[in-house]
Amino acid sequence: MARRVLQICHNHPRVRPGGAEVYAHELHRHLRRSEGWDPTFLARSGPPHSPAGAPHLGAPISPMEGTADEYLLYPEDHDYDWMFGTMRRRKNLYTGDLCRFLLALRPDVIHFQHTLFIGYDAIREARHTLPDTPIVYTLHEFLPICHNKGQMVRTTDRSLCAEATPRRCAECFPDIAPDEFFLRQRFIRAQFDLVDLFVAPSATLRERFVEWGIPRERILLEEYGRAEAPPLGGDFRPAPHDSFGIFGQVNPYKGIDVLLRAMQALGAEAPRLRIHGANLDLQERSFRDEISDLLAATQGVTSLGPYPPERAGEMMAAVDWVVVPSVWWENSPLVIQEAFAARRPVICSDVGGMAEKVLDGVNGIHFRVGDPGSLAAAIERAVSTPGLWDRLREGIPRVHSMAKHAEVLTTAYESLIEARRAVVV
Amino acid sequence: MSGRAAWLCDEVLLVCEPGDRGRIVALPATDSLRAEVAERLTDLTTFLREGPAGWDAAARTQLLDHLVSRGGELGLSPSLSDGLRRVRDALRERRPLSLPRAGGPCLAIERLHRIDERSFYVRGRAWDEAVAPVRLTAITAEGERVEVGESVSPHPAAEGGFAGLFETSFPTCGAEGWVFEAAGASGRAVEAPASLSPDPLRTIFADAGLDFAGAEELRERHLRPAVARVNELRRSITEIVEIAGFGQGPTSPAVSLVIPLQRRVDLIEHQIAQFAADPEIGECELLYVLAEPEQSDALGELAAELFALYRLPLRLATLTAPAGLPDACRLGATLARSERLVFLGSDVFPDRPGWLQAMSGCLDADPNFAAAAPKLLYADESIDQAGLEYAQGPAEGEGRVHRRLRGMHRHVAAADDGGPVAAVGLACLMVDASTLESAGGFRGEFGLAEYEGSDLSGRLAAMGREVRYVPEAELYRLEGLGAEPEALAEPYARWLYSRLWAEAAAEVAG
Repeated sequence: MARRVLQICHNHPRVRPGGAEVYAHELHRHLRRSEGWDPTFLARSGPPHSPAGAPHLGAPISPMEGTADEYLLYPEDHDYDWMFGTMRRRKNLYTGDLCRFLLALRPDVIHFQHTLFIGYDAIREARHTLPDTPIVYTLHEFLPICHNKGQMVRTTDRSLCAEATPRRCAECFPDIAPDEFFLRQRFIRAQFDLVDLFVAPSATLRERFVEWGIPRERILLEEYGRAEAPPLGGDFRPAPHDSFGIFGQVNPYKGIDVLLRAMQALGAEAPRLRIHGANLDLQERSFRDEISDLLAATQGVTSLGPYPPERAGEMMAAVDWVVVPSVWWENSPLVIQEAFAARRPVICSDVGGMAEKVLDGVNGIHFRVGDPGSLAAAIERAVSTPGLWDRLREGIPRVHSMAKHAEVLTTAYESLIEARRAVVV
Repeated sequence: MSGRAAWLCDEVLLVCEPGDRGRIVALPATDSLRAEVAERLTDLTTFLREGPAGWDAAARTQLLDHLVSRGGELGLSPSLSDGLRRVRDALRERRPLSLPRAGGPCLAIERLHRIDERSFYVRGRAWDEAVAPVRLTAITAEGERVEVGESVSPHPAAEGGFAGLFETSFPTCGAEGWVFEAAGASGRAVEAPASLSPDPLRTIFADAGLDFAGAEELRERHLRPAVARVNELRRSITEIVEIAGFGQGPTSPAVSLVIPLQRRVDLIEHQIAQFAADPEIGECELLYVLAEPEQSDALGELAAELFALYRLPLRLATLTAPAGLPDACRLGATLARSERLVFLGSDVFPDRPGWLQAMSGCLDADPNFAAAAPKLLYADESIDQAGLEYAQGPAEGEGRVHRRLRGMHRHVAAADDGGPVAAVGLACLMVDASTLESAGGFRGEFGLAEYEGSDLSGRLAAMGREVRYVPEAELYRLEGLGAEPEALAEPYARWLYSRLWAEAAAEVAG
C-alpha cells in the first residue's frame, strides 16, 4: 500500500509563481508518478497572493480545480502576524480546519515546505493531531531567523547580516523592542522542536540554522531536485557570447538595480540584456519607480516579463550568460539550476548559496555583492575573454534530478516513519 | 417666591417654605410632595433668580452649605451632583480668575486626583508677591468649601508650590467643575478651575522621588496615607468575578502557578508555547489572574483557542477591577489547589525544563527554607537578578533593594552559588501557602514587586526562616515587553521600605 505524504506550502505556483512553490509542486508531481507514494499538495491561497476566497461557504479547504490530490487553504481572514508567524486570533485555522483535514487524509508523512501566511502553529497542530506521523520541514530562506522577510539584510544600510540577535534585530526595526525579538525566536523554536527532520538545500543555510539553535543532526543537507527537462536542441551558441539574461523574482533583494547600474557603467560597450522578471507588481512603489527609472536610462535592455517555469530552459538558451546579482545570501536559487540545465554559465554575487553553487572560474564568474563596478568588470571579462564561455560551459555540473532528490527524501521519510513507529511500540 | 418649588434633579425637589425669606429645603420627590407642589413648580433658573440669587453672600453660602449637606444625606447621584453644581454656579461668590503677573495672589492647580470617595490629592502653586497666601479653599462641583491651606505641605516644583491630601465632608462625584480659591495677605482673592486627573499613583510616586527639605513631611503626611487609601479602595472593590476553566488539570497538582496578567495579556500565548515542552508543567496547575477586567472577553477567547492548540489545561480568573501585582497574586492564591505556590510574572519564560523541580527540591531540603527564587535572565544572557540584596540608598538611613549580580553574564561563577539571600522578588517566587499566610501575605503597598518580595522576605527572616536562591532554575524576565517602568515607583517603595523596617527595628530595640 502506498505511503501518503502531505506537502504543505504557503502558495501554489498556479496562483503565483515563486521558487519554493515551483520546486515543491515539481516534487509533488514527481511523487504522483512514483510507485509507493501517494502525495497530496496543500497550498494556502487568498491575500496577498490572490484575491479569491473559499469557493464553498464553511469549507476553507477545497480541491484545486482539475486535481484530486491538490488542495487550496483559504483562511477566513487575513489575520497573519508577520512578527511571530502565527494567526493572531484565528487559531481555529489550526485546531479546526487543519485538524479536520489531517484526520481525513491521515498522511504517513507531513512535509512542510513553507509556513508563511499559515503559521508555525500548524506544526504543533500536526503533532497533536497525528502524533505518530513524522514531520519534515524544508528551510527555503532565513524567515524563522530574520524578520526582514527572511533575507538577513540590514534595513539600516542593506548590508548583509551574519547574526540575528535581539539587539541587532531591534536596530533594524527600531519600533520593536529587543525582547520581542527574543520572544519571536523562542516562539518559533518551540514549534520547530516538534519537527523530526529539516531539509536545507544549501550548506550556507544549514550552517546559519545550526548557529541559530537547530541541532546539526536534525538538518538534512539536500539540494533541490529539478524535473528533467527535454534536451535542448542547439544549446551551443557561436561567439560572440555577448547576450545576458536575468530571470526570476524582481524585488529589492534580487539585485536587478545592481545589474542595471553595471550596464550603465559599461555605456556604449554594454552588451544586450534580457529581463525575465516576475512579481514586480507586489513590490513597494518606491522600488517600482526606481526600477522604472533605471530601465528608462539603460540602453540595450529588453524587458520580457514573467515566464512559465516549464519554459525556463528555452528562455535561458536564448542568452549566453545568466546573471544572478542578488544582494542577499540566497539559499539555493532555482535559477542557477535552470541555467546549468540550459548549459549557461552564471555570473553571480560572491556570497551565500550563489557562491556555493557556482564555482568561480569553473562554471561561472563571481563579482563583489552589491557592486555594479565589479559586475561591469565581470561582464566585460565574460564578453572579451576568448574561449571563456566554452571553458566555463564545460565545467557545468549535471543538475540534481528530481528522481534522485525524491529518492533521498523518500528514504528519509521511510526512516522517520520507522523511527516514529519504534517510539510508539 | 414663597411656596415655589423646582426640580433640583430627577429625584429631588427644591422647595421654598412660606415666609418672608422662605427657608429653602431639598426634599426627596415623593408622590405626595409632587402632588403638593405641582401647581407651584417653576424651572430651577427662575426659582434661583426670584429667590436666593438676591440674598447676601453669607446667606447664599449658608444655603449652599445646607444643600451640599442634604446632598450627602439624600445619596449623591450624578444627576443630583449636576443639579447642585447648577445651584452652586448661580449662587456662589465668584472671584477673579487668577492671571499670572497681574499682581496680588495667583493660583494654579497642576494636578487634582481622587484618592477615595472623600479624599483628594492636590498639587499646585499659590503665591502672592513672594508671600504664601493666607487661605486656600477647594470648592467641590457640588459647592462644598474645604479649607485646605492647613492640610497641604510645601512642594518644591516652583515658588509657592504646595501638595497634599485633603478630605471633603461630603461625597462628590464627577471629574469636572472643581474651583480653588486663594486669598492673599491683602484680602484679595482669586480663583482657578480644576478637574480630576487620572492615575493618582503616577503623581504620588513622582512627588515621592523629589529631594527637598520638606520631602519627609510630604511623604509621611500625604503620600503614604494617599497610597494606603488607594490600595485600600482597590482591595475593597477587587474580587474574583469569574473563573473559567479550560481543560482538566491534575486534581492534586504538585505546584500551583499563579500568573497575574497585566497590560500585555497576549504574553499568555508565548508563555504557554514555552510551558508546552515542559513535562513538569503537566503536573502543575496553571492559574492566570486577569488584573485588567476590560480585556476579559478577548482573553477568554484566546485562552480557549490556546487550550485547543496546546492542550495545556489552565484556569483563568477575572477580577472585578484593575489590581496591582500583589493583590492579583493574593487573589489568585486563594484559588490554588496546591499547597505549593509559584508566583510568576507573565513576562517570565523558563529557559528549559527542570526549574520547578530545582526550586521545589530546595524548599524540600530543609523545613527552615521558606521561599525560593531562580536566576532571572535578560534576553542578552546577562543576569536580571540572582536573588535580591540590600544596599545603601541615596538618603542617609535609607535602604535600597538591589538586584544581586544584575548585568553580569549568566555563567559568572558567583551566580552558580545557591544559598541564602537577603530577599527574593515576586517575578518568580516559590513559597508554600501556609508559609505565606503565617508571614502575613503580601503587604500590597509598595507598588513594586521587588519591594513586596523583600518585605515578605524580611518578615520571613524575622520568623527565623530563610529565603534561598536556586541557580539551577533559570528563567528569562523580559522587562522590555511593556511592563510598567519601575523607576517612577522606586523612590516611594524605597522610602516606605526603609520607613517600615526602621519602625520594626525600633520596636525590637524598644
